[in-house]
Formats: sequence, structure tokens, C-alpha cells
Amino acid sequence: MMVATLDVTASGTADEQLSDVALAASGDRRAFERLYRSHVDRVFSICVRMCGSRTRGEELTQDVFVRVWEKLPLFRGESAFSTWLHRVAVNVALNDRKVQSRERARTAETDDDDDRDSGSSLGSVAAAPVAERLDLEAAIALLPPGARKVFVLHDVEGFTHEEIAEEMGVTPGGTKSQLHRARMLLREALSR
Amino acid sequence: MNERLIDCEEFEMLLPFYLEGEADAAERRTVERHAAACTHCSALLGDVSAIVSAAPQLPTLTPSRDLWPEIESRIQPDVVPLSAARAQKETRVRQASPRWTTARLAAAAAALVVSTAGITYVATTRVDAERITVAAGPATTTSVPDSQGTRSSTAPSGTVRNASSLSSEQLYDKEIAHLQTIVRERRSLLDTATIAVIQRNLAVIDSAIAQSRAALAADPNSRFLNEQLNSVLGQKVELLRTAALLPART
Repeated sequence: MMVATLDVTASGTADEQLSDVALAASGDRRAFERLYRSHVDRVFSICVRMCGSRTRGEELTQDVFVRVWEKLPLFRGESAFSTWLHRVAVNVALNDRKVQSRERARTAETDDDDDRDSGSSLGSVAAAPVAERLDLEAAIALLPPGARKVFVLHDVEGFTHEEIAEEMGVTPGGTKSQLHRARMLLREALSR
Repeated sequence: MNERLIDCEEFEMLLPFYLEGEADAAERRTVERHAAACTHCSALLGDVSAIVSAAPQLPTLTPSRDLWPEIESRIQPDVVPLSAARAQKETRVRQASPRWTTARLAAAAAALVVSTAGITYVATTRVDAERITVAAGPATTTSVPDSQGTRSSTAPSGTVRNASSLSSEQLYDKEIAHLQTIVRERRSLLDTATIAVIQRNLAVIDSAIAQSRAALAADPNSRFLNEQLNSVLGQKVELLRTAALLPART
């Protein structure tokens, strides 16, 4: 099970959030709005990075909170609310049909690009440390979908390969391969 | 000790294992030794390591606009149709959904109540047996009061038999009455602070139940409101069940 958590922000203590979770689960929209305001940036960050688009990320963020509202009565508190919310966000982003269909259309192009990029990755020598030159955020958005999702979940969000593989329905070996591909493509993009 | 020399291709193959911490000590030394001697691979290792380090430090992003109004509109029950077409669509949904919703909700309620009754029966029998044992010596059987206050067996079979003929709300009400009796009986055994917390939570849930029932009175065919009422009734059953199973204060 994925264990990464969202931080409780300055806008609400853990106790207040617990109370808001209980109130929201019983139908209190104001309590749910407080939860939304506490967590929206974190959820949005996940959605944007997973789908590679700010516009779609905003739509997915709405979907996440609507889904959370619907499922909240089923939340039993076995994990922190933030952990549960995080998992819902990842699931919504992974199952996004609009992005999936768009990505299918892009598959042929990106596969060709991927082969070219991966093949030339060793030939690129950075003149200065990558992190100083690059817009990592923009480069992540340009990654092929599968590699991007694995990179975001593993290197940005801190999930393990086993957790990612379970969520994506692939093997841990597959996610490791995608992660390496993503890192090499990012290095290539950032070295240009 | 001699270390194996590798070329750049082998270096790139070992690199993911090295970065993931899955390379053994010998492989790590091999990778580092090659990187120290090869400018290409040294740059590769430095760049990828920098990316891995930078990724978790990416800043939190903020939406360009407030998304709450749209979210709120999506979680509000439909009250006023926006157009004739939508009104027709909703009519179709309402015609089709009550039977499905009623059946589904009744099944869910029955499942929860049956589960609750079974667990409560086993646990309260055990708890009461312990109490009787402490107070009056060994006991082989015991019972708890039903919702009418008479003492009878709390075996779940009666609930199971009756479940199919009752609505979900009736099932919940019956189980809630049953559990409330158990909790009242055990009240003197529980910590006062715990009782206060339970009462506060029950008050919140009761308020939600009252609001849902009031809204349903105005719109009895609302699938959302029916689900909402059953959801909070289910929460009340869960809370009462938890209270019924709480260990006695020490």
C-alpha cells in the first residue's frame, strides 16, 4: 500500500482536520471546504505532474475532491486522512481516461523519440550541473506518459517500486526500467 | 583486492542499480572507479544524481484559480433542472433509480447490520460473561436486552431472517436501538471521558440524520439523499458498535 502522506498545513492542526473529516463525512460542506483548502495545492501538484498539463491538472484536482466527497463516508481512519487523500489523487490521475486517450494518440511519436533519446543519452556531457540549468518541472511534463508517472511517483512523491507497480498493474521490474528511462530522458532534455 | 574493470555500456547498465541502492559493495566500487576514470560517465552520474536529488524538492504548485466553486457545485444535489433536456434526463434517472437504489441500499444495510449483529453478539457475550464471572463466579450462558428492553438471545440469526423484509432505514433503526440498549447497559463500565466523546460524535451524526430526513421529506426520490441518510445511519451503527465493544475501564 502506498504510504506517502500529505503534510498538514498551517491552516489546520491534526485535531482540527480529524474533526473536519468527521464533519465532512456526515455531509458538512463547510468542513469539506476547509479540507479542500488545506490540501488542494498538494493534490494539484500530484495531478499536474502525473498528467503533464496544468489545465487538465485542475480538472483532475476537482475530480479528486469530488471522489473524496463521495468516498468519505467509507473512510475508516485506518490511515491518516492525508495518506488516503493522496492515494485517491494518484488513483484518479492514473485512471484519467482523457489523458489516457490523448497518450495513446501520442504513443507512436513518443516511442520513436524515446528510442532516439535513450540511444544518445550517454553521448551528452553537461557543461554544468543539471539542477542549476534546468527547468526540471517543464522537462517532467515532456516525458512519455509511462515514464513520467513512474518518475513522479518514485522520485518526486517517494513511493516504492512495489507500490507503484501495484497501482499501475505492472511489475516492479517494469517500473524500474521506466524510471531509468525517465531519468535518462530528463538528463538529455536538461542538457540541451 | 582486484576489481573488475567495466566499459561505458556496462556502467550504464549498472547505474540504475547503483542509484537505487541495489548494487552490492563490489559493484558500487566498480561503478565509482569507472566514473572516476571516465569523463562521460562521471558527467552522467553527476547529472542523474542531481535530478534524483532535485525531484523531491520540487515546489508545491497552486492552481491558477479557485477550484472550490466548481467542486461545490458538483457535490450539491440537483435541485433545479437547468434545462428541459436535463429535466427529461433527470426524470428518466428518477424513474429508473429508486428501485435500484432501494434494493442496493437495503442490501448494504442488511450486510452491515448482519455483520454488526454477529460481531456484537460474539463480543458482548464475551464481555458480559467476563463481567458476570467477576461479579458472581463462572457462568456458561448470558444474554443482553433487545430494543424493547427484554432480555433475549442476541444471536444474529434473527436479524438475518428479518433483513430481507425490512427497508434499509428500518434495518438500521432496529440495529441502532439494539446497540443503544447494549451501550446503556455498559455505560457504568466505561470511562466518563470516553462516554463524552461518544456522545459528542453521536450528536453530530444525529444532526446529520435529522437534516437528511428533513431533506428527504421534501424530495423523497432523491438518490443522493437516500444514500446520504443510509451513510450516516451506517456511521451511527459503526460508532455504537465500537462503543458496545469498548473494554471496561480499569
